[in-house]
Amino acid sequence: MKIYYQRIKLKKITKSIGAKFQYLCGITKMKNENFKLENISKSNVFKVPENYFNDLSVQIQEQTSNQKRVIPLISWSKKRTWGSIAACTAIGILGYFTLMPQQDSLRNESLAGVQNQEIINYLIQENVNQTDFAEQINNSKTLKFKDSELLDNLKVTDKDILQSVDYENIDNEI
Amino acid sequence: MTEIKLTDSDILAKFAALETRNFAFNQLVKTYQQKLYWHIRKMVIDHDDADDLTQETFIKIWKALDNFKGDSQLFTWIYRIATNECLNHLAKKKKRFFLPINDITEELSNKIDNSSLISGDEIQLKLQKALLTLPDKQRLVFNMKYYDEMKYEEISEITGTSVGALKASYHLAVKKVEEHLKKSEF
Repeated sequence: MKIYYQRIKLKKITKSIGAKFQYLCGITKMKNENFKLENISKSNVFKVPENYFNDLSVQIQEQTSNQKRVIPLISWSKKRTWGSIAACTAIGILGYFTLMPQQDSLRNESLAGVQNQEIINYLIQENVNQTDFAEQINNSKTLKFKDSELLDNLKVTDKDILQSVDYENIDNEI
Repeated sequence: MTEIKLTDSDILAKFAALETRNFAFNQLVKTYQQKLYWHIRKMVIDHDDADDLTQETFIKIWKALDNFKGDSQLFTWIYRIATNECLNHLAKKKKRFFLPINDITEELSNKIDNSSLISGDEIQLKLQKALLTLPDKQRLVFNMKYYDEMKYEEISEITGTSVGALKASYHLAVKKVEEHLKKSEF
């Protein structure tokens, strides 16, 4: 019987401790839920070493007095940089379109206006004679004709050939 | 002997004259060094980083003050330079972390726990850690509004963001931070 009552007492005590614990937990929870920022002190939590601000002003003054103030004549600006890049690009593009056609403008149509005599005079002046010209044709891979084709192209008749043959020396040549 | 405090326009006028240039700049440093340092420190957390960035900011101000046109107030112009320095510094730091496990939030959070130059209530430190979960620009807006109690118009001049967008960003930041703190145990 005694043991029974002791057990009941113990249960009651445990219950009461549990309730108190829950009550305390509840208070903490309530405290957090009702939390407002204005309840926190705004005092500064950050500290500085002693005499820091006196030393800081001296350090800054030392640094500025040692520095030579250089005032650039042209200061850097983002706008100006992009402007320069755009201007250079525009000049490049204009240069390409204006200069490039002039370089490869020596075509057949541009020679059409030049008289034959002027071309001959030019070639003589540049020491380009007929032999050189013929050699160039022979060396050129693109201009290889068979003999008959060449004769056909030159429109040389048999009569012309016979006229040009040197009869006196022909026997020796053979 | 009491020190004479120059106004911003006095500083600018004296800086323009070669013989009073150094004096004017020293006055500028004394006027703004603490404000700038705390502005930077709240963003980068670490004292050494804040020290470097504050000095770099003042060197930049020294080099560029000639070009200051007076379109905005001097202090907003100075804050803008400091803000850009901070954001660039944090962006560079982020690039160094290839793995998400070792991200910058964790590194700065550890600094809050371990630095001898940071101390406060548990809840204050929790708030600082919660702020690290915000994007840098939103954290910046939060700091300027909540801690520095600046007007939205001033923040707008510094960040170049519209007042409406700043209001939305701040309220969102407050919500996020409160949500974060409600979930955490303290």
